[in-house]
Amino acid sequence: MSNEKNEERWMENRMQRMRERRERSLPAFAQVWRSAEARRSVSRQHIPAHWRRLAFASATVVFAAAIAGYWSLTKGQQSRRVERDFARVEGALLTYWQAPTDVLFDTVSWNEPAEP
Amino acid sequence: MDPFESEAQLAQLGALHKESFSWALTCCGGNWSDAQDVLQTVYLHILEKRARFGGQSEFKTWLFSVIRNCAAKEMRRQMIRRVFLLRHEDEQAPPSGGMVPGASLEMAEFQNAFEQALNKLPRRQREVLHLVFYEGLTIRAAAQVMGVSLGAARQHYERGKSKLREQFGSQVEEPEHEQ
Repeated sequence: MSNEKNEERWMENRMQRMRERRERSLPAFAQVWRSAEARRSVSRQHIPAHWRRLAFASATVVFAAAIAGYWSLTKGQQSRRVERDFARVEGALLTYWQAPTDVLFDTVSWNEPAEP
Repeated sequence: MDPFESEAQLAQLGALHKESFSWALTCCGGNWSDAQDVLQTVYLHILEKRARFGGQSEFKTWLFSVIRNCAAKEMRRQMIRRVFLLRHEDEQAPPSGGMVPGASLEMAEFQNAFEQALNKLPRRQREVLHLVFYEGLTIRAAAQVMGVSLGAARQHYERGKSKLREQFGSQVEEPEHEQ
């Protein structure tokens, strides 16, 4: 019990000495407070720049998305147009195509297996 | 800050500045410039109302908790920086306060050894010893500041004391004569 008391007193004394040493070289409250205020004003000045950067990034993303949308739309329209043209030409061919000759029918015999 | 709130808080902060700085110093493992940065950050948080005193505890308890949290964040940030940038920064020693008038060189060296040993203790042990012996808080109040249970705080307190006892041996048990 006495040892414990001594120990605590010893520790308090050490801490007291530490306090004396530290307090002689501590920065003043006004100095630290002023630095904090300076940091605050600097961070306030930086906010518009930060927001500008964010706005520019968002605008870029929106612009890129718009271009990509427009491109895919025109691409789809173009491919549909090509498809329609092909269909038209194909239809015309099927309607008006006539075999120039019947020679092919003469040479093929339906009872024999076709040669490889 | 509202004028009333700011004036009252400013007065309290000013009155507690020495203790706050010392506490920040302990939370930063004795690094003087880190402690100054941490305290600046704490004041900045108070100015920007990111840290607000709600009145649930004493102002000092609240302030010390904010300092502790800021210091922990700063330490984590530094650790990550060290790990990823592989940059070893030398710890800045606190400016020596010189010798206490009337103290012998031997005593000053002993005091240095004590402070170094204290700074090398695990964070929670160091913190509880500081709060109890430097600030004169009870273990219960220290537990509140540290955000741990009373039992845990008591355990850290005992372990910290026993580590210092191991290091300083008989000098701890002998009653000290004031010089």
